[in-house]
Amino acid sequence: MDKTKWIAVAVCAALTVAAFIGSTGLFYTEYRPIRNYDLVAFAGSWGGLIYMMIRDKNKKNRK
Amino acid sequence: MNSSSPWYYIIHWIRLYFGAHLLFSGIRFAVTGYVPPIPGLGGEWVQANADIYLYQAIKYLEIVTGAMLFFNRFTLLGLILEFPATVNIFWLNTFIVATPRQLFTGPQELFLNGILLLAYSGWIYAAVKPKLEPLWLWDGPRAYKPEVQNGKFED
Repeated sequence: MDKTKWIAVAVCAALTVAAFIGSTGLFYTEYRPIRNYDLVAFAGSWGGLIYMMIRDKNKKNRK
Repeated sequence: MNSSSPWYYIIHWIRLYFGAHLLFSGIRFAVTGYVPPIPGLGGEWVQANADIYLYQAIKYLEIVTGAMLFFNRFTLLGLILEFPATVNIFWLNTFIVATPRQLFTGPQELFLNGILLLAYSGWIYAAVKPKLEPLWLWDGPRAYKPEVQNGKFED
């Protein structure tokens, strides 16, 4: 993990928090528990990102 | 976009998020027929869309565009196909339904599709100019040859 990837992970974590707050209404309206809809989107995006980062790391190692 | 830039991974994360979001929404409708309860005029609009089968068509389109985005196949085309539905959701949630949560989810939809369109539109930069001559899709390879610029090329 280099600095670039850590910055990307931090931004994606911030986007995840924003999407969580937006969907649940935390701090701004009546709270609604997180939906499967959101959890699937989080799992898909984080799973895909981790897959891409591992793939790129392996590519780099082969060079 | 270079993979040594944080943007590379951020844009891919957003692509995966938006793709999974559309896939879930489309597949949930296809499997369960779930239509979210929407208050007021917005609900009437959605019901009218369902009555003329437009709502169903858009949900099935979401499965196709969601898969295109999530699996990174024809991504730019998927973003363009999804954009009319995105504008509809943005308008409905932000200005018509306008409950606190919808004031977040409406702009969120436009942000996701919009930033991805910006991030992928470099591919169509050459075609985004004030004056273009018609060029059939199947004549596409000619776009890279100079004679097409003035509308004159040998068939």
